[in-house]
Formats: sequence, structure tokens, C-alpha cells
Amino acid sequence: MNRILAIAFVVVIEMLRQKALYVLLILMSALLFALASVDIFGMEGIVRHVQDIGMLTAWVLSWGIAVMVSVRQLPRAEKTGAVFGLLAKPVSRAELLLGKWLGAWLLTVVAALVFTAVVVLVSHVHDGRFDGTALFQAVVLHVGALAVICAVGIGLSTTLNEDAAMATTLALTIGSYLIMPRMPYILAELSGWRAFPTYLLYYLAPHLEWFDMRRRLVHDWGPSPWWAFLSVMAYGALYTAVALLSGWLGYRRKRFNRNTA
Amino acid sequence: MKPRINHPGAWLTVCWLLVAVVAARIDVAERPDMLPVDDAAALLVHETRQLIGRELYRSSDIYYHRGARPQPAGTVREDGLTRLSEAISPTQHTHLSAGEVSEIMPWLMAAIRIDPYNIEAWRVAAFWLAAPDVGKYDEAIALLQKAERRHPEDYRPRLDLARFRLNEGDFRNAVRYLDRALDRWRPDPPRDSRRQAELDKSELLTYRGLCHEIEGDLESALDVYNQILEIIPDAPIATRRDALRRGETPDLPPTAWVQESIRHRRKHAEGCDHHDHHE
Repeated sequence: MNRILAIAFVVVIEMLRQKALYVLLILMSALLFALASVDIFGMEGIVRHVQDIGMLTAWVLSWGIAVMVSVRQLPRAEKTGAVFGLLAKPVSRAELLLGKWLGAWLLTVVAALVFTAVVVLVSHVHDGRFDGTALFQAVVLHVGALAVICAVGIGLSTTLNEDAAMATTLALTIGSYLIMPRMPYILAELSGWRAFPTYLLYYLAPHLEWFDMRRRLVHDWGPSPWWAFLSVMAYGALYTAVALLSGWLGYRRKRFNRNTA
Repeated sequence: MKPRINHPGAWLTVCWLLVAVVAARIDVAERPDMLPVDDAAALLVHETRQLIGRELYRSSDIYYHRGARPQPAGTVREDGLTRLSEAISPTQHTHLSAGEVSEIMPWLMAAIRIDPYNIEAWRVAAFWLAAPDVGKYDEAIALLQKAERRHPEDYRPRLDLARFRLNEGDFRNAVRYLDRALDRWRPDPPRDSRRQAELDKSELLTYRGLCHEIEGDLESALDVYNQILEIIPDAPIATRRDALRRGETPDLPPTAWVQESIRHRRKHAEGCDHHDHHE
């Protein structure tokens, strides 16, 4: 466990040195403050659009960071030759995989929390309030979604190079986020053998839309039922485990070539 | 060795030229009547603005329904997964309460700014600005007057302005707007159904006839009511016309009919025909 934490710590420190995260934070803050300061016929207390765009921006940015950070870890370690140093120590490939995933996840969680804090702050300054329980659920579910995205990114990067893994992770996660809510309507129209591949896709692709509580939060629907919240968290944990396990199955016997380093 | 441009002035000039070209495209795209048919870039900018404008306008509707998007038509497969999805992100819709309705305004104003040629965005924004709980009546009128200038050939902003004037009891100005609207009335199939345009015309004529009555010109009022019944044979104005023809005094005086008609129309516009309201 210590070795996994040490690898994760290195990933976080390495990424925190990058300026991109701070630039994104400044851009997001500027966007939200500018948005909130727009005067609309002198009406006060209009803040839902700021909360909505703010939460969406926090989602999109942390999603992008999760993909970019997770898919680069293993390919870059192989490319720079750092993987030989790591594996020469008593670190198993499973520990390396888990450490890289944990580091990428922790970093994106930190970024997501900071982004969300900015949204809450800007909203608060403009008299906008979030339901406390709903906000807690939304943040925890977002953290769950980031775990899934990082796991998919790490899993794919065990067999694909960085660019291919990034493109595939983005296509898979964004595609399923946009398409999955439509699937029940598509499935209702299908029957027989034609339905089978669609059902397969419906059950196997990640249901990231379940982790998105922005509508409840922004439009003041209150917290979701706890059974639903816990079910989605369990689903996220299971999906993350399966994605990491699949990645490990592809990684455990992978041969590294020093010439590509 | 490749030639390199290192002088900052050169780069500034290039940037300035690019901005000038793009700004000209945007300016042209704001006025579709001026779009040169062979200018693909201007057409592209115009189409893009329309697309974004429509999306912003749709966002205002989603906000009015507290985040519920219109569901695709057809049956939905019900199972545990869809119930879970529904529990996390509600899809049954309700309307914003009266005090919250101003939350839709940022989207409408953005839609107007991006695509000023979407007349419905102007009208909906003015409608809600004038709502009692928003109370921006003068701003609503000013917005419709801007819409009138932007859409010199469209009857709809004039119809709305006439309603506002009638509601205030300013019949002289209302008649001015009603006559302008009737002059410009024409069915507009690409954006609206012909049926809606006909309903609008019958509404315009109803108000115009009632204004004739207020002015004491019963003959013109009867002429106008006959025109309405040619469009909508079973219109409620038939009973009023028949009473006037018989020389009787109708149950409601014309001013009360105007007020009742505007109130009814507002109530109808605030509602919607969705079937899955969440109380």
C-alpha cells in the first residue's frame, strides 16, 4: 500500500508543478465573475445560469484533466524509461497501475474540488445558495465519475499509446455521457437479434450521466434519494475496479522495449 | 534558411487584418437580408449564430421547466436503470414559481444578442419582463420597440405592443399598433404555422373591432367581426356580433372584453400542453 501511495504522491507532485491547472482556474474564475456581473435589466438574484455554467465548466475541465493526466502516465513512463527504474524496485505492475490511477484520480479530485469551490463562492457572492445535501451528493458523485474516467484512461493506456488512449477515452466517455440517456428510447423500438448489440452497449458502456446531479443542484430539486446515490457510487466503484482489472490483464505480461525509450 | 517575421509590428498588422475580416463577416451576418449569396464565410457565420441563438432560446425553455428537457417522442423502455437515472436527474417537469421566472432572462437576452432575427426570443423576453412578479413593464415595452425596429416587416412585435397599450387603456396608441400589425400581417410558414398566423390575425381583428366599438363606430366593428368569422367561423365574437346586429347591448362592454381577452391570452401563454407535470 505504501508503494502505491508513494507512486500516487509522485504523480500528484509532478502534475501540480504544471502551470496549466492554475491557468484553467484563473480562466474559470474570470469567466464566472464576468458572467455574474452582467446586468440584466437591473434584476437581482438571478444566479442560476452562473451556477449552471460554473458547474458545467467545473465538470468539463476536471473531465479533461482526468483524461489528459491518466492516459499519459504509463506511456510516458515507458517512453522516458522510468518504468524500468520503477519495476526494478520491488514494485509490482499491479502496484504501478494502481499508484498511477490513484495519483491521477487524486489530482483531478483536488482540481474538481477547487473548481467547485470557486462556483460556490461566486454563487454565494451573488446571493445564490445550494442545498447542502444536494451539493455534497453532487460533489461525491462527480468524484466517483472522475474515478471511472481515470480508470478507463489508465486501462486503455496499458495497451495503446498516449494519443490513441486519449482519443479513445474521450470518445468513449463523452459518447456514452451523451448517448446513454437516449438509449432507453432506442431500446424500446428494437426487438430480436438487432436489439442484442444495443443492449450490450447499454450495459457495458459507462453510465456517466448517473453521476451528473447538476440539474438537481441548480434547479433546486433537492437531494436525490439515498438508495440512488449509493447505487451509483457502488456502480462507480465496480466500474473502476473492472476497468483497472482489464488494464492490469493487458499490462501484466507487456514487454517493454528499451529502444523506444 | 527560412525567412522569419520577428517584428512585433508585422504581427500586430496581421492580427488587425484578421480581426477586421472577421468583424466584417459578423456584421454582415447580423443582417441576413444583406448576405451576399456567394460569400460562404458570411453565410457560415450567420448559420452558426442562428444555431447558437436557437440553443440559447431552448435553454430558456429548459430553465422555465426547471431543467427538464423535452423528452423524445415515443415509448421508453422502463427498467431499474431508467428508474435510477430518473432518481438522480428528474425528467418530469414543472414550471418555475412566479418569483423565480426571471431566471430565464439571461438565456433570452443572450439569444437575442446572438441571433436578433429570432423574433420569438424578443417576444418571450418581453412577455416575462411584463409578468407581475418581474414587474419590468417599461423595459418590456422598450424591448418590443427595439424588436419593432429590428423587424420592420413583422406584425408580431406590433401585436404585442398593441396588447400592452390596450392593457394600459391607451386605445389611441393601441389602434396605431393594431393598424400597423394588420398592414404587415402575412402567414409565415417557415417559423410559424399558418394556423397560428390566422389566430393572430383574428386576435388583431378582435381588438380592432373592440376599439371601433369604443370609438362608437359600430358599423366598422361589425365589418371587422365578419372578417374574423370568415377566418374562424365559431369564434366567440359571433355572439357579440349577433347582439350588436340585433341592436342589443352585449353582456360585456368592449373595454372589459379587451381586458378579459388579454388576461385569458396571458394565462394560456403561461401554461403549456405537456402531460407530465410534477406538482
